[in-house]
This record gives sequence, C-alpha cells and structure tokens, in this order.
Amino acid sequence: MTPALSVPRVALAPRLQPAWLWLLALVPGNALIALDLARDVVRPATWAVRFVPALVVLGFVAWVHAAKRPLAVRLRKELRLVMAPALMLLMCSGEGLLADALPAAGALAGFARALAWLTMLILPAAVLLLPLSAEGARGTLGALVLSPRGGRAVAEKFALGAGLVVLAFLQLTLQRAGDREQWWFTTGASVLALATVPTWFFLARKEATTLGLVLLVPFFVVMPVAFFLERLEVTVAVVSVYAVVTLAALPLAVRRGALALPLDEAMAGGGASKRFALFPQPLAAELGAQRETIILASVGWAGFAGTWLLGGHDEAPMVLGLLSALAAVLSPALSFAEADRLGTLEPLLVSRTRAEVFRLKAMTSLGVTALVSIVLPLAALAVTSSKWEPMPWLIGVSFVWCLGLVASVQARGAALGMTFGGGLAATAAFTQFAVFVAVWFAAGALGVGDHASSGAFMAAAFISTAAIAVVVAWRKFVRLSSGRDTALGLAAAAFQCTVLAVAGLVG
Amino acid sequence: MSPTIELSDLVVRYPRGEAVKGLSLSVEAGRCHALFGRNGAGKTSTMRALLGLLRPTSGSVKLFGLDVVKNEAEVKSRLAWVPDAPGFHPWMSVEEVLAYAAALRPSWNRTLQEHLLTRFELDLSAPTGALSKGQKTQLALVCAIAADPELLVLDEPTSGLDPLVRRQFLEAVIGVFQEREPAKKTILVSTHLISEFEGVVDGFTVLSGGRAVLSTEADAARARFCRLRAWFDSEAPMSVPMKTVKPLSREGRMLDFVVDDEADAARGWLTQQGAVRVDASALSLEDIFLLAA
Repeated sequence: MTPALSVPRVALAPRLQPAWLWLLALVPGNALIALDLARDVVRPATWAVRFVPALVVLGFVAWVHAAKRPLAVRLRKELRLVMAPALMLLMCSGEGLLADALPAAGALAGFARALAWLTMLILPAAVLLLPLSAEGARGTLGALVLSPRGGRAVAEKFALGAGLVVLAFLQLTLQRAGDREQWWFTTGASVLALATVPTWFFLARKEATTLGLVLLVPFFVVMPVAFFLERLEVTVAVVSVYAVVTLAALPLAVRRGALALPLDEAMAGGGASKRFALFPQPLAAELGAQRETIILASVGWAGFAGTWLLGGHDEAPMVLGLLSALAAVLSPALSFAEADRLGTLEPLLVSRTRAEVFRLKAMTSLGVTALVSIVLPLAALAVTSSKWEPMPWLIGVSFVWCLGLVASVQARGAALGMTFGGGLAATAAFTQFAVFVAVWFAAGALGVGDHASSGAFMAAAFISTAAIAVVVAWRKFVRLSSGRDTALGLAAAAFQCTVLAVAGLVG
Repeated sequence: MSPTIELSDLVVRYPRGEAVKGLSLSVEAGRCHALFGRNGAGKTSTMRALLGLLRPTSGSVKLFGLDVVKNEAEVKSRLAWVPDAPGFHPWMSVEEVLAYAAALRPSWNRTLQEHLLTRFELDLSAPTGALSKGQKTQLALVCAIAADPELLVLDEPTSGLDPLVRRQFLEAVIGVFQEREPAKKTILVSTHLISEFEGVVDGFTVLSGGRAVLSTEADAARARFCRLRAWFDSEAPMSVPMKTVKPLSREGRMLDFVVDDEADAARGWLTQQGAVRVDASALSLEDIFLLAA
C-alpha cells in the first residue's frame, strides 16, 4: 500500500506571508468598490455580489496555505509563481473603478481607467506564461513535466491562471455600467489572445522573447477590436485568420519547444551580429542585445500606422505611446538584467571598469530608446498631424526609461529580473506619481492652492524622480552601494515630489 | 616585489550571514594556487571579491600590489577569468565572440588565439548557442589566455566536463598560458576536482566556513602529512603518542593513522612497539583536503 504523502508543517508566519500579500493587494480595489457602493446606496445583495471575486481568491489562498493535501502543496508553489502578475491583474481590475469612486479626481481617474484598461490586455497572458517561464528559467520545468503527476501539475498550473483571469474579468463586469461594452470586447479579444499565446510560448522559451510576445500578441489581436468597432467585419476576419493560423501551428511549436532549441538559439548563427557589423565591438554586441526593444517599438509604429490609416482615431497615438513606453522599460532590462541571466555581464565586468560597463550599456540602451521610442514616434506623429504634444512624450518615455534602468540594475541576477524590473519600475513610477497627486488633491480638498499650473510642476516631479533614479542606478551598479542607498534615493524622490506638489499649489 | 594576490582580513557578509570571515592570503607571481573547500565554504565569494564583482564588507583585496577598487582599470587589464558556466550572446558565432572579447582588452595575442583554436578544434563559424558545455569552456579559455593576462582566475573550470576535455583544458592552462613566462604568469583556481590539479598547483588554501583552515605549499603538505600503516604479531597498540590528524584506525593487528609532521618519530615508535611491517605513504592533495575541511 502506498503510504499517504506526508506534508511537513512549517512555521506559521512564513506560510501566512504570501497569503497576507494577496490580502493587502486586493484591499485597495475592493475599498474602491465599497466607496462606490456606499455613495450609490445600493442594495446589500449587490454589494455582496461585487465582493465575490475577491472573496473567492482570498478563500482559495487561505485554503491553499492551510491545507495539507498534496494538491494544496502543489498549488502553494503555483500561487507563489503566479503572484506578481496575478496581483497586478486583480489590482488593475479594481483600479478601473477609480473613475467611478473618485469623480473629483478628474484627469487622474481617467488616466487610471485607461491604464487599467490597457494593462488588462497584457496581464492575462502574463498570468499564464510567466509561471511557465519562471520554471523554465530555474530549470524545474523538466523535472515537473517528467514527474509521475507532471500532466496534472501542468494542467493545475493553467487552471489556476485561467481561474484568476476569469475572476479578474468577473470583478470588472461587476462594476458600474459606463464602459461595460468596451470591457466585453476587451474580454473577448483577451480570451482569444490567451488561446493563442501557448503557441508563442513554445516557440520562444527565453524570458525576454516570451515577455515581448506576451505583450505583443494581445495588442496585435485586441487593438483593432478596441479601435475599429465600426469596422467589425474586417476586424473579425483578420483576427479569425490569425487565430486559426496560430492554433494550427501549436503542435509544431510544442515539438520545437519541447524537443529542439529555443527560437533565439535556433536562429543563432551571427544574424543579429551581421546586421550590426557596421558598428565596432562591443557596441555591436550591445545593439544585438536590443533586438526585442526594436521589435516591440516597431510593432508600436505598425499599430499606430494601421490604426491611423484605417480609422484616423484620436486614440491612435496611444498604441504607439504605450508600446514606446514598454520598449523604454525593456531596453535597460535587456542591457543589464537579461545580460546577467545570459552570463555575459560578469565577463564584461572583469575586463572593463564598472563605470565603463555602465556607460556602455546605459548609453546604448538610451540611444536605442531615444531613436525607437522618442524620435521616430514623434516624427510619425508629426507626419500624421496628431495632436499629441512632443514634450510630455519626451518626459514620459525618459522617465520610464530611467525607472527601468534602476529596476534592471536592482533586479540583477534574477532569472525573471527583466519582468520584475518592468513591474518594479511601474510600481516606483506610480508611487512617486501617487505622492505628487496625493499631496495635490489633499491640498485641493482643503481648499489650498490653484490647480492651473499643475503641468509644469508635474513635469518637474517626473524629471527630478528620473534624475534620482539614474543616480541610484549608477551608485548601485558602479559603487555597489547598499539597499539603504536605494531606499534613501526613493525617499528623496518622494520628498522632491511632495515639495514640487506643494510649491505648485502655493505658487 | 608585491605579491600578485594579497587578501588581508577579508570579510564578505550577506544579509543571511558571513560567507568569508577574515581570510588572509598571499600568492606570489608565477605560482599556481588553488582554493579548495566544500560547497558554501566561501570560495566563490572570495573570488568575486577578488575580481571586483562584489565589495568586501571589510578587509583589503590587492592584485599586483594595487587596490582592486581604486585601481580598477589597471587591475582588470592584467587579469582574466574563466567562470564555471561561461555565458555568451547566443546569436554570436565563435569568431564574433573572439572579436568581441578582443575589443574589450588593451592587448590581444592572435597567435595564441589561433594556436588554441586549432588545439581545441573549435569551428569559428559555429554559433555559441549551439556549443556544448565543454566547447563553451574552451572558448572562454581562449578568450582568457589570448588576452595575455598576468593573472588567470579559474572558477570551477573543469566541473561537468568529460575527461578528455578536462585534460585538454589543463594542458592549455599549463602549457600555453603558464609555461610561456613561468615567472610572471599566475593562476588562481577554485575546484572540487582536486585530483585533476594534483600535479599542477604549487600551493593551496583549504576554506571551511569562510575561514582558511590550511594554507600551504603543495610539496610541504605532502611532506608534512604522512599516512602510516603498521602490522604487529600480536594486538596493535590502543593509541599512539604522536599528534594524529585522522582518527586512529585499529583492526586486530593492524594500525592505521596519519601524523602531522612527525613521520620519523612515529616510525621509530612503531618499531619499538614491535611492528613487523611499517608502510609510510604521502597523502594526495585530496586526502589532505578531506582531513582539513
């Protein structure tokens, strides 16, 4: 008789820690729901229904961390792997309520809604793919697949991801009406994107490529749906062809992914280096490492051109803006975190001084970002006579690049450093921005100051935060400074934002 | 003349504890020195501090008499490193990797490069993403030796390689790198495969728990530690009066022990005790490591 699997019990605090993280992350979105409901004086039944997704997630997390069954043990690990993208997804599905909950927030609420809406396009695929990528990067995927319960474990992995995605969309559909039709289109297109990402995953197992595709595929599929509702028949035809071709390629992709080299290695042979052969080494190698940045930005240009040519919508530059910003985050991550993962960073550091390596990598990344995310997009916007202002674009992309730089330097050594680098950069950006906005609105609520001159002070807040981020990255990489220096840098940025917000109001 | 490597009271502390606890080490130019130790003994942290890849918590690290932080550029121009798992951009060919490595160094010996490529039979057009672990290690060694460094740092260089590749690797390190200018070329190697380096290292340091528990010349260690086996007509003695570094093994009429620096005295004592046969043998470096670690 096979003995029952004995699961050792471990200390309570470490086991509860991830569960508390889930709880804390789900609180803000649901607090907004509560605020919204309290103001509308809706029926308690409706109130309760809107909390169902969060309660389901929290109940599930609590069960997984308390139970001793083998299934719970397996799911505990899966929850840890999926936590970062899933929490972002669940928070974003709650952040969409900001506009309803805080109508006084005006432009901020609109920004939060747009951001949450766009992020919702990316994160479902990330929820499914990043746990697999993490296992692949750590070398545990092979053991998992070859284990007697390998098939079941992989199925559980996908089921957990799919369940979280469904709950996030349920959370969205339970909010107030407004843009619900738009959300349904987004949901439908994201489901289609989710159905096709396994093909891309098996074709490209490398984290950078996987992440890039996780970002690209939903946009490829979703953007036409989102922007050309009046040209629905064309959109449906294009999306259907794409879906059929991608799904048909899945068996081939699985064979390649499981049995052969990853795509980047299979394609290796000097192609990228030949394209950059005009440049001297080591610049050519650094440019070669930026391939995914260029691809991502190119998709942005293509998306913008397609959207503008087909519809000429005012929202068209948003496609370009978002992918330009993503390319700006990805670029330093490829220079630092991805180079560390590949093992090419340390040999460079043994040959050249840390300052030289930092300059080489940062300047190459900045140059590529400036070209593909600032100069070319702004030129495209100028040609199409779009109304977007160049200065906010320049400041915004530069800001994102600076935060991507500091995050990539911080995240060195991690297999998924680039992914978390992007997440960390976004978190840091929003933290700084939130400090500025919180002070601004707090003062506004107290009747202090004038909101008219907010733009210049907001720009100053962004620029000062970006400058501090570069200094922190420099000190961390070149001087190998401690985490305390980083915390001090972030505190300084927050202080600077507060001062600017107050100065903007008082001035 | 300053030693090539000079560590003084080196401490490397991580949030989870100290990896290196006050290590001091001096290696003269032209020597091949090994760091031996179990997993977690502090070898890699020591090497990373030495290469400037991490900042020591305290203590000083000098290479060629220069502080590795203050004289970073000069120090790095005179050393090369072969890691345990060399990493290359997977889209680059062998030829491109060599061009890239040459672009990072102040000098590059193309004759040596060609010689090593021929010796290792590496295909210049092969993409590095398709190279085996052994070929990647060979390529890393070509990059390191062709840079013509004064100090070659090898971090577990032969782990996971097949015996043939290991032999080729060692022959290249000794025959191509060190024997060209034996008085000037220094090697620091960290390895678990002690037997592989038995005839190569001039001196070694055994690390345990972040501290040096034994640091000596290889020949001196072989002369110092002696294994004695004695057979008696009757029951063997229960103990020996000498200082032993291995628990005494006694099986009936046979006595087996290792003495520290008292081999002659022990042999005489065994004869006095009526031993009918005494075998004395020098220990291998691996045996010495097992005793010390």
